[in-house]
Amino acid sequence: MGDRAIRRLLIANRGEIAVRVARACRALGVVPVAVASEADRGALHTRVAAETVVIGPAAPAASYLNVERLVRAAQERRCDAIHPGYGFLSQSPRFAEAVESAGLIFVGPPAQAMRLMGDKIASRRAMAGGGVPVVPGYEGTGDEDAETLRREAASIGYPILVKAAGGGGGRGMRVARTARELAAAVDSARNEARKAFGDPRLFLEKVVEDARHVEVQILADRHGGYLHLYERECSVQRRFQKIVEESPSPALDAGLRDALGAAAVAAARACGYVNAGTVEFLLDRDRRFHFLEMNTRIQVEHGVTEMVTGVDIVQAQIGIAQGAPLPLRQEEVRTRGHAIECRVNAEDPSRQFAPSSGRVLVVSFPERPGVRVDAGVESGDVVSSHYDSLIAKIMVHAGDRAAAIAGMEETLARTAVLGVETNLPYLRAILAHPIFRSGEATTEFTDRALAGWRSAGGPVPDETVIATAVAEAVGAASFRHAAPGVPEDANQESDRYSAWSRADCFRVGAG
Amino acid sequence: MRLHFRIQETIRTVRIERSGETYHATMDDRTFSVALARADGPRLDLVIDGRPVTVFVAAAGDRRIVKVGSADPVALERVSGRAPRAGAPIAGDEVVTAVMDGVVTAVAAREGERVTPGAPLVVLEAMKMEIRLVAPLTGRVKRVACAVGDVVARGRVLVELEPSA
Repeated sequence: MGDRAIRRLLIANRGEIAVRVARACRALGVVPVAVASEADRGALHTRVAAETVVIGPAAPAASYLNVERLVRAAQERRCDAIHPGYGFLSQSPRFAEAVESAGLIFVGPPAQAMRLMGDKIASRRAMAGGGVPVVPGYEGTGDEDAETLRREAASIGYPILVKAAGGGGGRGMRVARTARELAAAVDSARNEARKAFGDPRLFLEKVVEDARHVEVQILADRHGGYLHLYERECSVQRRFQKIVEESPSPALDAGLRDALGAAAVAAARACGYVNAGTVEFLLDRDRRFHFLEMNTRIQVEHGVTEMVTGVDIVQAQIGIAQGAPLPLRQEEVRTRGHAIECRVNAEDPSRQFAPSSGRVLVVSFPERPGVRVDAGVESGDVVSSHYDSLIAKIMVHAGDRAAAIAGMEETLARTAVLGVETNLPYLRAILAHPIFRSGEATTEFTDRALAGWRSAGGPVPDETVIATAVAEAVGAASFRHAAPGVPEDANQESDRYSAWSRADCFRVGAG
Repeated sequence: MRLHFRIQETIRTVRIERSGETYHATMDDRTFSVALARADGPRLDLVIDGRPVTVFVAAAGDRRIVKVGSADPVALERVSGRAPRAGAPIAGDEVVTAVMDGVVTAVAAREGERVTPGAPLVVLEAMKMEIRLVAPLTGRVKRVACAVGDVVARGRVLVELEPSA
């Protein structure tokens, strides 16, 4: 782990985060090398990279989760380091070890910190031991029988969350509202835990009602330096998946904010953490906070922190991995204004948010000051059913929360994603909701306030039909910019359909 | 030019006439005056009865997905050539004309060849924009009246079609 410069970096991921990491590489003069499954050939994350290695079939197990193949790809392309992004192998200690034993730098925390935080039972114990408050609950060996768990649950009090020790990120969880529901919840959680994580161990946590999910971004270097970049509010979730995040949290005052930051740094210290990480807390009705889990990777929602602090977290990750000290001191971290992120997912709100795959015919985001879009697709790209449905993150930064909400509403209204269904109408409903606007949303907000929400399916306005007809008349759907540098077709006989096939690449259909 | 769209279970018909830079679009006896302020790929900036509105449109086969202003996108189906209940082909659809001044960069139409709605006929290019003209109906190519390299003015006849009965 001596200090070494990173000149070429393999990005072991896909989609928007791979694009994001490549952008950080370019800013630092590092050569970004992409990997792609066969289904991702030509995808945006390969177009922004300097080179691409095709690593295997579409199924993640055969490509983005294939440790040996990824390490070999990095060696073949003479990379110095691997950035895992989020998801896939980002929290796999085995991957980090394989990368380092191949003589490469893993842009992330040490394997032992990942291992500790990946074991939710061990991490609860370590946090409690380090003086960080944890959610009330019970953790034993993880293999307790239903009778033991029933007894423990009764003493904690219902409702109870049954959680997998190997889980996290909202997976491997079951709620039991009463003792009667506990046995089924335990069975079901154990089954899922065994299948999904290869680890059947379970523990119990009290459901913190009306909780807010507040997390703290931390950075740690190899020289014992730690700092936090304040918090993100992530209470707006659907089925335990975050969809709208913001910074700062409207739930904190200055005292609580500093206490949370200090607790996050204590958590990072307690596990010998290095690089960027996130400590998640639940804030209860009485404004007490409890450690939930630590995510040992870059998070999807890191951008809102970057907007308010001005710190480029991905660039910091690469710097730290090279052995550099933290780019600033705690007292130099200042936040400015308010930032909100909306996750645009390719899913169909009218079909229980089922993933919507296929070719995205049009992707267009408004460009204005204070708006940042981290997207994984452009017009004409394919959203594959093999991978998660996040296609873009829209972030808006403004002077205060009200202005950020107004800017986000305007940005969502002007965003066009045509060809696949998206949750954009649902995001707009969240932004428009009085509970969200008041800053009072808890983790139960979408279940309670938006359970009955349906995407508007009313009559199509005349104006829409008229606009479509005029678009047909002017041939808008078939307009495209002639590609510069492509010679005009001289030989029409032998290449009679080339113009059509070129046009078809853009899927711009009949005129 | 008459265009038909299926929206859920109904057919809406829009008749479009062009005078200069303005399109007069009539639907159900109401006429809208539409000016094209700017066209950039799938994005059109229109002025409909004096109100500016940005439109995005995508086509997949006969399906059109359209986002108008700040509204959520909706899907319509283009019913090519003629309304399903109409007996005769739409007058004017037999003649494919240049929709803008430009250069013919490709000709796919062949005299005598059978075509179906959406079949490629001619590619026009102007100002680095390409527009492809396709058959609006089912029938046969009666005459090809242009060749690659022709500089054509808006309105010039490029291809004549013969609708099948």
